[in-house]
Amino acid sequence: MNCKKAKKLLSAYLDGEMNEHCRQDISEHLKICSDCNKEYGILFHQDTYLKQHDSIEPSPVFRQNFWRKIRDAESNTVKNKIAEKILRWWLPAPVFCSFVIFIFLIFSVVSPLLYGQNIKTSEKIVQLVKKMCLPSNQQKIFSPLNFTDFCDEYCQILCESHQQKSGSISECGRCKK
Amino acid sequence: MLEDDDIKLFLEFQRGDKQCFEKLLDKYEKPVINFIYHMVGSREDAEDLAQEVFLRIYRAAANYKPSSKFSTWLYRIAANISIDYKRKPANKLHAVTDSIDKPIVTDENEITKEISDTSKSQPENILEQKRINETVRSALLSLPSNQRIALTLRVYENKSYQEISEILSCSVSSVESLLFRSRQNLKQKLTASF
Amino acid sequence: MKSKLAIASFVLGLVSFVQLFGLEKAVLAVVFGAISLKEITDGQQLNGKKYAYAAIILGSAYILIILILAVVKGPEMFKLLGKMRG
Repeated sequence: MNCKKAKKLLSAYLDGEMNEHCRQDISEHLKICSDCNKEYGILFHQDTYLKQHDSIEPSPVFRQNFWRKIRDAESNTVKNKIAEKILRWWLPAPVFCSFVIFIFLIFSVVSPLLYGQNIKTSEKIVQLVKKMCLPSNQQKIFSPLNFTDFCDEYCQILCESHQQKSGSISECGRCKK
Repeated sequence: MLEDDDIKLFLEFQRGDKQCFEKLLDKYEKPVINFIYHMVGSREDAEDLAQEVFLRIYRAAANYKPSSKFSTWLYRIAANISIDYKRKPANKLHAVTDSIDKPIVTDENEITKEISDTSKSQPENILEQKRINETVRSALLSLPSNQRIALTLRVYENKSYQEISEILSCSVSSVESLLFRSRQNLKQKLTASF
Repeated sequence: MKSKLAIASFVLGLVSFVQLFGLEKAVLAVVFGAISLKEITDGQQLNGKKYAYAAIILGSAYILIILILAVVKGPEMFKLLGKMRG
């Protein structure tokens, strides 16, 4: 065994963590090599020195603080559970509402295309939807107002087409045409 | 191996017996605090973090399934928590200033403890002990986290390489090399002191 | 550490008010808010519960406003549609 290898193994040798064969090899080597022996002495001394470090005692309030933290955490989980219950009760509402709105929109966009005998009306509706989908075309910053605009314009187009069809003046009286 | 007493105690606690958790605290609070103390080098932080460790295992009780020795699990959590703590830049700063500013100031507990201890009643001894504590602490703090964990577990907690490898989730041979490197690093810092 | 998902959903909730069809953003805000809230209450590592709540509230508020508008505007639109059909 050469010194380089032995020095690497000294740490494990010191901890007694090696097989018997290896252990004997090192013991043999330590007997003949003063350099490694010295190194071993240093490591051994170093470990004893480290062990001289005082251990600290837990402060008397350690337990107290710990149980207090547990109590806090437990009251927190109770709060969380209540919040979770409210959430479980509430969450279906927006999901359902958005589903209704979605159906509403799909219906209002698709039905003129299905019923519209007039190609022009269909085109106008398609254009309105395109406009609606592009954020850069939006005029109002507060988005719910854009939704109102959409509804109004939609009504206008339908009203116009209706007028053209029946040739009468506006029956709904809202688009003033 | 999985049937050690601590696991039995913990399973009892899982069934609702808080007394068993107290018993575990009796057994482990001091080692865990000391382990973390060696890791972070500040007494108050060590206690805080130890509380965090126990809080975590308290919470983990509901989903606990014994897969390794209880102490291995506990030390793994403690090691992770101290590594996380070290990672936060603010805390690092704190620990460093701690080790620079604190050598002279020791808290009252320590002093009374040392004074009441008759074998160390000599003032030189107290000073000498303080010097040793300080040197060891700053030497340990200068090591990289993994080396520090391995060395602390080996020297102070007397864990086998097998256990250390389980705590660090690495192989036994890498524990061996961690300990080798940590001792080499320490040698340079400590030889001047003894 | 604050949950990134919670903050993202909060931002979505806010943004849904700023451009038209905020509906998809509002729905995402509610869904992400709920997911992040679950994450926060399960793991102990994350903060930002308030953001998650705010996201859910904003998203829900937006959806409710739109629904109310749809209910107000709807009959008119459907009346015209009905005429068109007939």
